[in-house]
Amino acid sequence: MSDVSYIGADLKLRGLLDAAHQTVIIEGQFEGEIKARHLHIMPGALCEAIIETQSAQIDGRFAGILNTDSLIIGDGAEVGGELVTDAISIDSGAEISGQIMRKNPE
Amino acid sequence: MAEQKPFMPAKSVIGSGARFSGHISPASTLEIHGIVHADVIAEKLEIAQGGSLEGHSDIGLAVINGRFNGKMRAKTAWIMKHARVSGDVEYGSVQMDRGAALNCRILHNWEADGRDELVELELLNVENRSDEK
Repeated sequence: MSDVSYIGADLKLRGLLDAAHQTVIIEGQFEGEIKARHLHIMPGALCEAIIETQSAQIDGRFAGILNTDSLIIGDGAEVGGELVTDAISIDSGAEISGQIMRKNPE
Repeated sequence: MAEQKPFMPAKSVIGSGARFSGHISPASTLEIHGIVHADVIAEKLEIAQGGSLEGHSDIGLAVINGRFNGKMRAKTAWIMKHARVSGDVEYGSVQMDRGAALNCRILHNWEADGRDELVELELLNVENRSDEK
């Protein structure tokens, strides 16, 4: 049994992926909406989505809206859009354009 | 990425507890442990026990141990003991385990792949063989 969802490099998904209590790893392409406990966008991956997770790591390309508790952006990442997070770590070399907001502003 | 490919066979998994609905591009290997509503084209498809697929699918090798509902074309189908299949299955060759539940139309050698022509050719050959020599 496997409770990790893995989107391989050759695959392109479009739609709604609801894995609210599971881990999702994207190495290929995804377009749509993702709910996950942990999301990892690998180097080389492309993700255009509205995402809701507890934790996320972006090493590939992401565009869209990301709502998460904690976020790690790796050095090869290209990120655009709206990042809503409580904790964030950005490696030098990451390209970010867009907005970063606190999840629960006082 | 290109260097990685020989070491990492492209395999994709929809994990147990996950639900996906939408569109999936042609895949080499796809494993379904969760619930999927989509059309699938893949060289190899595995629906694991507890997994479910609803949609049309065109598969090289289909290993089914979960639920399938829809129309499937598989060159080879292995329908395992926890399988529950409904809809249409068209196959080149099939293996079925004791316990598998099929509530479907099942058809051998559909027109694709020239399989029907092959059968006809073989029949013709049988007829012609007596003419030869």
